[in-house]
Amino acid sequence: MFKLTGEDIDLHWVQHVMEEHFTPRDYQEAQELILPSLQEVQERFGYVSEEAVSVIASHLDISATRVFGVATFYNDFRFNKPGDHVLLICNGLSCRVVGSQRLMDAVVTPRLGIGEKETTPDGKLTLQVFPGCLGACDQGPLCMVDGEYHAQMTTDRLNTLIDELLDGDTGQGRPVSQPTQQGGQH
Amino acid sequence: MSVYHSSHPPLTTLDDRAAFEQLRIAATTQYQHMMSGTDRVVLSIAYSECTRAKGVDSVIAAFKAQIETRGVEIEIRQVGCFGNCYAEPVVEVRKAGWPAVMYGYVTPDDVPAILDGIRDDQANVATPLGIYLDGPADFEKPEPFQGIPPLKDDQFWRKQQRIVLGKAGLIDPLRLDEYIARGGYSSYVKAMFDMTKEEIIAEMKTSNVRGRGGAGFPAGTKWESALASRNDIKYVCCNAHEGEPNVFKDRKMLEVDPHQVIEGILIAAVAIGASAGYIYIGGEYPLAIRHFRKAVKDAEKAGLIGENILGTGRDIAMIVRVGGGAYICGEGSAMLYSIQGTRGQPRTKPPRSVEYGLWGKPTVVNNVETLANAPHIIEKGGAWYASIGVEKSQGTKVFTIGGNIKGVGMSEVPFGLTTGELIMDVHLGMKEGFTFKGIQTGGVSGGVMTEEDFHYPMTFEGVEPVGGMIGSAGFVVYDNTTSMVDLAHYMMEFNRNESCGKCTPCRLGTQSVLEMLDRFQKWQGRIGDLDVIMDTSDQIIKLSLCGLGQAAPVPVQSMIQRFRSEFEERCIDRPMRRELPLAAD
Repeated sequence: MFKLTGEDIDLHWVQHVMEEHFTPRDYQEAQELILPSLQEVQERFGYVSEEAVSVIASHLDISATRVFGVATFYNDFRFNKPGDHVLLICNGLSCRVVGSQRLMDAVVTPRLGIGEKETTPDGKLTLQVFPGCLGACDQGPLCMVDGEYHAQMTTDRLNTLIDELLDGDTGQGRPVSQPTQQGGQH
Repeated sequence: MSVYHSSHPPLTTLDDRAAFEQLRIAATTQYQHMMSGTDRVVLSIAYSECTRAKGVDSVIAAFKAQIETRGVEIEIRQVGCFGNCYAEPVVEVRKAGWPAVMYGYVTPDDVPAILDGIRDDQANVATPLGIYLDGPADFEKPEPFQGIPPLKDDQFWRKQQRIVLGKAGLIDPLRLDEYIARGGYSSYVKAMFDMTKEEIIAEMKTSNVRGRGGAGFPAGTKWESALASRNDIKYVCCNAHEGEPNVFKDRKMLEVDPHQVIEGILIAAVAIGASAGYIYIGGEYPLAIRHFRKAVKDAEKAGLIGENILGTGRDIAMIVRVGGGAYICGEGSAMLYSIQGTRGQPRTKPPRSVEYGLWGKPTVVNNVETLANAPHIIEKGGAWYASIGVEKSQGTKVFTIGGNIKGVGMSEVPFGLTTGELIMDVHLGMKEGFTFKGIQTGGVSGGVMTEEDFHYPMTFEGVEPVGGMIGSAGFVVYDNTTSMVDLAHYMMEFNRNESCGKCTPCRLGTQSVLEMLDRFQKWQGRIGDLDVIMDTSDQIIKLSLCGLGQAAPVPVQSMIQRFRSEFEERCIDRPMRRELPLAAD
């Protein structure tokens, strides 16, 4: 189902972060930390690989299949390396009423020619149509690029945005973020 | 002289109640002095993800540059947003001798005019929205100031009564001292020191505050059963996983006033004797998560969360968990499973979560808004709260309205306003060039209401007769450009994607209805399909376990009932239109 490519995930970093922030006190907390630790890895590398799952699982003393079963249930997790930028297009009802579908038909589909969770051939842009709602319905139609909202999109603005994203940094990889330290009881 | 940055009082651990009172008095004095504008003019700029998208950064930069060149001393604060999203970016000016003036639609070009106005004592420049004394929606109405009317007379604010949004836009969400200065954490301290658990719950029961997440279950009753449960370990869990299309009230509440939610969770924890409070926030809200984490950290530093709180020997931990983008995890039991690190699939009830919840322990699961009401109920009493709104639906409700409507944004009104008042009055009616067609109630779980239903009151039970639903109170207005067939297809697709797959009628039923709607979308429908859709939908509603399945087909059914002609038009065997008069007529 998924083609797993995990060579870009620094497993030492994962191990280090797990030890630093995700060391459970008991069985109960170990279970609770599955999702946060997966999120931490995805936050840093943009996706989750089989190897990373193994590291997480062995650190939390849980079977890898169990961790993988959780990861595949949730829509947020990606299992392939995304492009340099991730373009999320909100497909919530409010955005749809004010024209997100028009953006898809007029700009995204003809220009990028890629489907949901796919990446452009040059590896610069991953498209994700957000099935639910990004929660800024007052600002629709809404896009989100690498965690930043771009509100009230028009076809022109979306075209410019995509231009910027495709012209930008070439293959340098995603900007690396610091660990958010969301683990543990704190 | 340049932009003034007021100092934050250092956060020290509060050892006892006296230390808290001391901090409260100090913070109040400092806050009131700052807000009076005596030392220097204070500009409060609504700052959130959505105002950033509307260019507030360039407005702030323009203010800073102008203040720098002019050599005046002005303080710029970043506050949470007021809720009038349509008028953003919003800037509030406080100057000694002036009432607070709110300017809307501010662009960098307006900046010199506003600063000139401050210098020359001319408030009526740029686009003033109105003036007010304490808060935009307070009851004190000031006299018009230099021709600027009171904000309370403004159509958007007139019918609003703000309780949980009372501090929205007035405090910096990241500052604990400003929250405390506006009465924050006083209810928590009161609940801890002056009240017994039974008394807290009695107030909650008197107020009859009902669950704001959709189901409308009285919170007091829930807390009471949790207290009665004989178990050493109990939890409070705040459900902040909206995920529902067009609902964003919880996100805003976490962004503009995170401490209020923390206080609500803490009061619930005190009332039932819980050892930990959890909050489960949807992963798509980066700013809300950031603000809430910061608030928790500050409250921990101040000793309001953690071990031996204010010397009472009471320990309450606060744990933030972030969702993984599964809509179903907004359902109570699914959310608890998700916190436990499993796939988020709902389970059969009973036992309810208050008997058997997180890790099998009694757990109070409440919505953000429900818990945000708790500090106010403890402060002013359950009877006061129950006097607002109407019978069976007491208090206020935060609504978020989207679509092609002028007053897009968030409002808090007492229960009992009619649907028409809410849409056409509070939210200012339709935008130019669009005509009203219908309104989607309850996120994607309620029915569609049309203009004929405008007289139904917005209460939990009031909109039921026409298939409407308050639900999580995110409404979308449909206009003449929206196609009902398209939306029915969209909503079914959403529910099909988000079905967790546990119950067969939901998993397969949504798919089969979607396939039929697919044909309608391609102008290949059949008249008979409409009855099959209705019938299948009935089965899904009756045979599904959780709220998602039981609500999934409701909007589609309601759309077919109300806009049947639009569906019939797309049938290949549609009845002939008799547009030309027949010869025999």
